Amino acid sequence: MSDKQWQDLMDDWQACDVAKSTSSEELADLKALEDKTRKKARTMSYFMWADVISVIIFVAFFGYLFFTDITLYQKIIFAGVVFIILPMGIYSVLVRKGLWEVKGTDTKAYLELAKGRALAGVKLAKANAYAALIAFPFIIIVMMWHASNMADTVSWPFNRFVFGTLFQLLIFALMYYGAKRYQRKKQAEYEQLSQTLDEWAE
Amino acid sequence: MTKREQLFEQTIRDYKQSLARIVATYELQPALQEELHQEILLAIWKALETFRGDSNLHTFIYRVAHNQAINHLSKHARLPRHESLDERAEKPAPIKNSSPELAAMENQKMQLVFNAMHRLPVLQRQLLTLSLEGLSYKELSEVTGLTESNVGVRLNRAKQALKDVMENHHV
Repeated sequence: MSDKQWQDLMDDWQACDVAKSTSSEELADLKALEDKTRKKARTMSYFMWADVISVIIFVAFFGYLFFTDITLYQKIIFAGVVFIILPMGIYSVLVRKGLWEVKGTDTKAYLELAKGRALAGVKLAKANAYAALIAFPFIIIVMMWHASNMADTVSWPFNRFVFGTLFQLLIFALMYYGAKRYQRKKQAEYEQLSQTLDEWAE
Repeated sequence: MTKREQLFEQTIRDYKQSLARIVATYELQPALQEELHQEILLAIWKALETFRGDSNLHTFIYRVAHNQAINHLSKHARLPRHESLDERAEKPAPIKNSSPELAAMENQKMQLVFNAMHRLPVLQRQLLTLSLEGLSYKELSEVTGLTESNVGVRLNRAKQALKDVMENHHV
């Protein structure tokens, strides 16, 4: 491309008003843009505090129940709930606080950090999926063992052990499905970032 | 009004067109363009909290915007990225200009440039966009993390690639 062609393109480019080429009229309105961004930042902050408070309430409540005079299966269910809530709450706060975000001094550094973060996401998701696969049979075995000790006093199939098992099945199935979905998303992100970094190295 | 709020207002005012062009360079789908535009503004708002003025605001804004756009691309990596040139050219003319005929011509030309850009690798797209916005080699180097000489070589390569894509598609 000659210098003249490039200069012409540059002039056209800088004269080009594409602010209204997006589907939203709102984007052309400076005030609306600014307000929308502020509102989004404020909402994120509110959600973060809502997460913190909910996690504290849930963990305190179930923690308290755990040490009261309840049955083993109830203890297992409550422990399962805390097992899910605590890491999810911590992750949510990290995301909303912006601590999970990638900050790079330049694009190359940003890409490298983002690639590392995507890989960490893949590993985290894998660990969660394995945890769900391992924890679920373990809990079922404990429950069945406990149920067998009380076989004379329970009426199958409509009893609390069946309910407890199904409840745990639902929790761990959701956890496994969510983890696998997140893993696929992060894997695609990782591959895309690797490809971009390879282009950088060429 | 805090210093951060003042800077944010100034950024939106001064970089409105540049940010819209960056969005159009990285994203084709209107719904996702809006999403990307919002993500970029949010990233700038957050980044301004740590901006102490010891670096150039100009390069700072471009760096945050481009990084966010690349982040957006990787997050939507599974979506189709290209649209046929014919399909693109058939779209209504959104670019403003004084004369309707001139506006239509200019619009079509720029739409094709944007579409050609979408066919290039991310780094070439970034270098071309920043250079077209008027950034110097030194500023390009600050934003991308490449050395100035490397910027020169890669930018020439990117210009050639853009020309090839445009010629191959009769732009």
